[in-house]
Amino acid sequence: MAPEAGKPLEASELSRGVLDAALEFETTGDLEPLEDWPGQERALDALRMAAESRFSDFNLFVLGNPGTGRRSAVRALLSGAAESLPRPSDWVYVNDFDDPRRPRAMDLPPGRAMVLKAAVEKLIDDLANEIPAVFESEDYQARRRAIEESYSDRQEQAMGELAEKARARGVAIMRTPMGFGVAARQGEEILTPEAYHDLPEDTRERIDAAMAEISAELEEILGQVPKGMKAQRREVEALNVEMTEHVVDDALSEVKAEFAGEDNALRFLEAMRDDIIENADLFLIREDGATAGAFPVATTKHYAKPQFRRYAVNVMVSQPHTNGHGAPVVEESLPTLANLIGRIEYAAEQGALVTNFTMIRAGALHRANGGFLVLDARQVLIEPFAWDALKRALRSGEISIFSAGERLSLISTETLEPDPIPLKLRVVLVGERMLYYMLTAFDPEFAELFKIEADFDDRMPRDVDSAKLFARLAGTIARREDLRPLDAPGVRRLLLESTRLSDDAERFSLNLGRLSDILREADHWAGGAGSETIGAPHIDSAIEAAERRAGRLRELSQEMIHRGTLMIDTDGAHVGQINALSVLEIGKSRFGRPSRVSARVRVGSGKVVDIERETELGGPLHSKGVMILSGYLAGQYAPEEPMSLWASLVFEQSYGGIDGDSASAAELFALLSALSELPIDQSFAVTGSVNQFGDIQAIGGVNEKIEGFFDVCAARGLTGRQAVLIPETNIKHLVLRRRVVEAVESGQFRIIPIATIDQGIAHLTGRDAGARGADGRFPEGSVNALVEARLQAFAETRRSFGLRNGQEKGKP
Amino acid sequence: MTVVRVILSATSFAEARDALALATEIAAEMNGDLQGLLIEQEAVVTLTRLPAARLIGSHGRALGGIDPAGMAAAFRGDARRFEAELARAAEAAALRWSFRHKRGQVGEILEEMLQAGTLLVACGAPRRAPLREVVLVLGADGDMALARLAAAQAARIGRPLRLLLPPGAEPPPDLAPTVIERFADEPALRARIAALDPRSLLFAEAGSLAKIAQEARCTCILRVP
Repeated sequence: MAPEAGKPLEASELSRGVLDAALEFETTGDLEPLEDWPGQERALDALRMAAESRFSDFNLFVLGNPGTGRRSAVRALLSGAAESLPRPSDWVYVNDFDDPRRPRAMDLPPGRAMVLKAAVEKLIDDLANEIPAVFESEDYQARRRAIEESYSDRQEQAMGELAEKARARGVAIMRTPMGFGVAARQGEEILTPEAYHDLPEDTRERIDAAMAEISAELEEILGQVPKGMKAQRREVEALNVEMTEHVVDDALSEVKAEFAGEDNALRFLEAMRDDIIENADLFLIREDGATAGAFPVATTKHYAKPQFRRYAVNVMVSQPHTNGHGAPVVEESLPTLANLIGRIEYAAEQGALVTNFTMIRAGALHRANGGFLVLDARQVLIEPFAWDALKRALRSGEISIFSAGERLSLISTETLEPDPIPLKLRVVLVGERMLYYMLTAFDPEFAELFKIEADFDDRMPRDVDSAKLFARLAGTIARREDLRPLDAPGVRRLLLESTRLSDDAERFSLNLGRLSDILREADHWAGGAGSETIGAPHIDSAIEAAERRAGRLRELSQEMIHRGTLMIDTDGAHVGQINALSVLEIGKSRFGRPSRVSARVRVGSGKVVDIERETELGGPLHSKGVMILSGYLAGQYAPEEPMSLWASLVFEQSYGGIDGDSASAAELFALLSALSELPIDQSFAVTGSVNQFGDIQAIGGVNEKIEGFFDVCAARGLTGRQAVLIPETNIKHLVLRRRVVEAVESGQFRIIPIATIDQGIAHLTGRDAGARGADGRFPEGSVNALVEARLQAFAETRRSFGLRNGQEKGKP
Repeated sequence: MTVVRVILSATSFAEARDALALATEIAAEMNGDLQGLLIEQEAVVTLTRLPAARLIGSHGRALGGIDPAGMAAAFRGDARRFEAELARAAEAAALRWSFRHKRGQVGEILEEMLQAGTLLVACGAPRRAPLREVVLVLGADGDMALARLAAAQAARIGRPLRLLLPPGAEPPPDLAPTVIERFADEPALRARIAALDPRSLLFAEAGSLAKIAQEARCTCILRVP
């Protein structure tokens, strides 16, 4: 039989069906593990859509509460989808030999980046040995000497001939600190000025002519020296190139063969060849001696030397070397700007920050390119520039590396402008619903870039099929966490707790995190008890222990009531005073407790004063509730009369903020009591909101509220009269702790659903509320009649007061 | 062969720079002192006073306005650089060293320096190419120690050893020169020596050949027994 409003609930009505049909097994070890996530079909479909779609803007936002299996579902589904995708390319940065500030990005077939890197390192090692050997060879030395001698021969021959000619013409050529001196000679000595002047004029003219001729020829010979040197250098350079080309081509042929058909690699190797030949002198630098290190020169890692850094292959992304297939699934738990798009590192050299292309580091976008990138939405949003960088990359379809310092112009040192790398991946953001809705509302680009939402449900309907799934889910969690299997009563108890977690007796919670916590703790208790399985007592122990750990504040609250510090009556009757119920949620602690609500009335102009609002302690929902009950009063009792009431309502001993409308029914009851002057039975507590027509509406936290009042009553002694009035529409949410159910069962406590204000006031005052008769009047002596009479009296008083006041004003 | 000192003589720093390593090496090998000698030739100073004389820079451009004082200053500058380089090289080789700057006739100064136990390295013209050959002048009662020094130098630089034999001289049996040239008279030998180009390195005994060193364009190593 369905529960009837206004009548106390039976204990049997507090407990949903136990769904035994779903629990026909010994232990969850007998059940098939769940591959999927129960109750999340909608979200899983969205995930599959995002994973399989080829459109670049079908990025995904996975929304839902923590613990609903969002991440594990994302991980499992994406891993599955990634396996069927092709392995993406490897990416490397190499030097642009023409413009080192702009490193070149180069893609290679999967798994080939590390091969190229190793091949280039070996090539450099080989050349570091072979090029010096070539330049030290007898062949090279002979050819070089031949070039040098051909030029010096010419010059020396010319100088020799000139010296002979000068001697024959009586002219001396002498070396001086400033060059060459040309002077007339007299025998083996230089002709003195005096002797020169004593010579006949024709002799002097002859000597002058000879000196002029020799000088001119000497100038000509010496003038040719720089040109000869330049030509000699060019010939030597050509020889160097020829010799280097031979060695480099020989060494490169093997590497090129290894990369045949890989155009990018071949282009790079060709550019590297030209640069090595042009800069062969780099291979002749010998800053360390042949025996400088622990290993012989031939086995030294030459490629690691600074002068060969220009030939390095900086591997940004390298797929596994195996022949496996599949795209990457990358989770970045710390999505800073640098961790996301990569970074350029710097090293301090003589007080300056320097960098080069080998100091470019990959980010999560690089690693996930071609696959999936899973990010925590909140983390991306709180990391400076990260969200902006992510959107920019998705919008542009490429990864450009920049630093926050550059962006803010904080770095003035020379930096790099690496080629952007083309980006093709699916980004999956995992976050709370609020974030999703805020991004949708405030970031216009968000909806463009994240077109798919996967909304993970918190609850699933409770029926036999879902209970079976729940049992398998519990078994899967136990198996995954390496826990004992659950027996059927254990699952039943967990199932009950799950409905409690969902605040709904007809729904299971899908908070896998919380269920896992309970199971792990229950496993601990089962282990302590020497049980092979997790049973109901172990689940109970786990739940009770968790509540006890988080129960300090609840106990403190109960203690204050018990000691009379917080004034709550649980017996007797008072006019204008009622026990309302509220829920406090602090940290992991969530509990209900009663609060005294009181109401005072007098003649006024139709105003109900909400003291909480006046003192700015009441939230908007609370104020709304108070205004609604004003509407109820006006419509119910004085449709034809001006409302001549002034009333004040207050939560006694409340010093913090109050919000929500779940106390509006209690406030209305207090007001009706004050108006009717009928006392309210303090054995009752009330929760529920009210509409303008006096209907009682559902509220949240009904279980905690009932238990809060029950615990106060239990501490003082249960009388059997004590009860909680709850909205009839909250019956389906009842998943009460066993102590309450047992008290109801034994008739020591009552839970009474009500659908209207009239039902509630009747219980509270012990007097019928009364309905208007055909004459439009409430039955005499009924609560409503007393309220209406009081309101009419207020109206009359106010009218007479107004009349009197008007006469006073009208006096001449 | 007992060598007490190795004298590196030059008429400019450019000459000395080319021969400094060689002189240092020989001094270290012989365990002798290293002495530097810059000769400021009277004739060069005189040159600046001659109305028709010319000065031509090493790149072939005529230099004007150089007076005796300017030339003397240039010599002083060369002397400073010569001394500094000599000190650096000698200290690096852990040699005792000294330096002198003398003015006068090259022949006279060299005659004065050639005392027993001296090995004179007289610089030739600056070289623009590596040494091409080692030349040894060996008389009839030839100084075999000098011959071995020349042979060792030729082997060290990997260049041929040319043996010039004055009239009446014969090649020693334990020397294996690459080329042997015999001369019927002294003037022919002197003309041959004078014609050696700066890429040659001449080893000879001092004495009558000392004067030839003035005219040779190559670096001469002259030993006073």
